[in-house]
Amino acid sequence: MTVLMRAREVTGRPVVTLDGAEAVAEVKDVVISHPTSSVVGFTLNRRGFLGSPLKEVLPWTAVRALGRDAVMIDGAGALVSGDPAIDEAVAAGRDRDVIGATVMTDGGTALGTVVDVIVEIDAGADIVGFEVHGPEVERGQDSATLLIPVDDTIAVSGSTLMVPAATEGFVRDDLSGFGSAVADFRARLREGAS
Amino acid sequence: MRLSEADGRPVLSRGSAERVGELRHVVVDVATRRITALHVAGGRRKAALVDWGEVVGFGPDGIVVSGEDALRTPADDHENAVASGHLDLDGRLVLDDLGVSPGVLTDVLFDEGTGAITALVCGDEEIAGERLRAVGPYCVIVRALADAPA
Repeated sequence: MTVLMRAREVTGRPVVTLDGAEAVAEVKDVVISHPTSSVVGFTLNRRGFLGSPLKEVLPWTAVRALGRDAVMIDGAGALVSGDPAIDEAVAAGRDRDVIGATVMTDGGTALGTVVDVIVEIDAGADIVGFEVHGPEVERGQDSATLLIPVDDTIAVSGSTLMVPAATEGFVRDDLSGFGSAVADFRARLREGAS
Repeated sequence: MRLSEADGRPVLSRGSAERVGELRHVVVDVATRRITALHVAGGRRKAALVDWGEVVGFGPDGIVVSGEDALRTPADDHENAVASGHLDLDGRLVLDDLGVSPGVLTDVLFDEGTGAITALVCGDEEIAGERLRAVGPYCVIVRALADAPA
């Protein structure tokens, strides 16, 4: 079964061990690899008020479940002091945090500013869309938050996220039904390509 | 029996007929889903544990243990944590192994003959004892139902 989740909702979620039922950390940031549009892991904070950052990170491969209330791991050994995929994505993303980037279609239309990332949790965790604030999108309601489905055909620079022009017709304003919008969107991209 | 009803029940010695204290906490073995020991406090003696095997009778008005000799000190970190209240079950967060919480633990149902935990009570929901997976300082972990999303 597939679940859609906002990446920012994961921030602050406790990381809990299945063997000891202990909360060993909480999620600081969701680390995303841009080439694959997938979640490679999490950076962590110590638990509690004003929790300071932990040196350890949590690779996605060590996550047993990402639930509404907690991130489940086998044991404290799942937290590692370094992970090649996370280190690379953090280093590459230092000047290209996707939050705050302008979403631009390759037709030259600015759709808005990214405020969150929609992640599809399955066996892996892939980015399927962006939550975007933008009066630029012609929707009738001027202050609506929009969900924009995204295929793996995106490009990211320091300030801009380039998406296919076909994206414009697939804007949703709530997460329910977004999954089917993503499927429709991908189907249309495939048709366009053939 | 409900743990909430047993909580605070007087514990008496079969040998001396003396009151040795009252039930304060229970030690749970997660692998066998049983209460393996009782934590007894409030008596003349220092707080101590009594192994389930030393319980002669678990009745509505008192828990009778074989003798005062049956009281022992906590043997490991887990028992120490129980005795100091760090693993108190009441009010503890419940999480399933998919990271979803049905709420907090409001009661525990157990068989007073064997100590077997038959159910965990989470508000209106009863979670079968065999789903218990871990008891720790942050939460109690239960297995998600088989037909739940994996």
